[in-house]
Amino acid sequence: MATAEVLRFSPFGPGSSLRSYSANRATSPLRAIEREMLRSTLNSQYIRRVQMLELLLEETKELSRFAQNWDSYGATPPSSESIGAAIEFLVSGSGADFLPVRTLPSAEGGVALRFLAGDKRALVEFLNTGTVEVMLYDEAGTLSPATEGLQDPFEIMNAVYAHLTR
Amino acid sequence: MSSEILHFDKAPIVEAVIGLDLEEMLGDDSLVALKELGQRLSESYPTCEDLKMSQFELTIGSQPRQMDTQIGYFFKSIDRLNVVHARRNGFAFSRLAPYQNWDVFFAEARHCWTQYRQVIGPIKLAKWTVRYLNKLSWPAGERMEDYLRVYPYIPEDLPQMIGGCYMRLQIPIESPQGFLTQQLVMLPQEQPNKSYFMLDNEFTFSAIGLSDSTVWEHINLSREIKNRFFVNSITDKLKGMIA
Repeated sequence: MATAEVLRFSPFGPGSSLRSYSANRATSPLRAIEREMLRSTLNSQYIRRVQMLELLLEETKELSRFAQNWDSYGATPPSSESIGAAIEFLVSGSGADFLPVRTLPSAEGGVALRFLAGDKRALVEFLNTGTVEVMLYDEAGTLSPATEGLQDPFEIMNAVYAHLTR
Repeated sequence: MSSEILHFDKAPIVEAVIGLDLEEMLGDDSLVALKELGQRLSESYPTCEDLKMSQFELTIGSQPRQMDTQIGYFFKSIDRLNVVHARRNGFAFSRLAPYQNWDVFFAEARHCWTQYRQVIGPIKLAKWTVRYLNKLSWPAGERMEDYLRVYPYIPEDLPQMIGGCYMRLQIPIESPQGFLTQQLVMLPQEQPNKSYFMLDNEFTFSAIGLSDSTVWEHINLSREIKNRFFVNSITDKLKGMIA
């Protein structure tokens, strides 16, 4: 199909009021595409989630730039192993409505993922030692005790998801 | 192909959306009505999130200015898999994976729309959409044409590896008159030995001058159209993988 034909294409035919509706809102084909792409993104929960995931993955990779003593209290920077473990966790959990709001360096040495849903909070830390620490709590700071010994990523995901959606 | 016989055990649907757009943006006061919709739906959709639209104003010689306008709310189900988008300029109902089936999806979308319609008052519809987003995967390094029948063609004398992909097509549909917007997007790699793509099919039709019941009749009939476009966009090999 030639380009000119594509640009002339009118979804609802001549005389349609929807066509004039669209034409009034878009001054050029490229702006119409830009507007349409924005609408397309806004209308999809899944696309918004993938975009959020991509942002979190970039931020997590950036954590390797932190230097020794980054918090001035002697904290070690996240190791490549802890960053890798956090990335693996993020990607495997992205199928559910299950993305953290922030990815941060942990004062304990490692990567911390912070989750938030309503008054529920969760913190999952992938430490440089290779262990994972999970803290489930609420806005008032009340801790949920059922996280001790959780190391398996799948079990951690389920525990965090159950807590956030309770 | 009859829609009744189309079923894939491992259907790759990550989101299905039914949307209805109004001819114009309603006033700020409609937010009160939309809030009331949240109360009506709160038993099944207890989570409410603001839905805002950001606009940037760029003026030569001054700093860019960001303006956030609230245009509605998201209401999310307890498991957060059903999401109502209640906007001043329209409505949408999303079902995230796992997708159940058309009948369940359609019935819940229509139920929520009926509630929306009752609180929002007189409106004029502009268009309706049915959208299916599919996450497809196959072994990394294999050719796209082995799995997809719609794909970007790269001449053989150019490198055949791609590091990213975004392809967008708009295809007219004759009866009823409308169009498909098909997007093919490479997704982040979840496993090192696999490639992931999103096949996003959005069907748009005019709703101008149509009653609610006619629009919903048409939406129900679009099931066959969306099935036909999906099965004809993928190869038998991929069908075998999701069967």
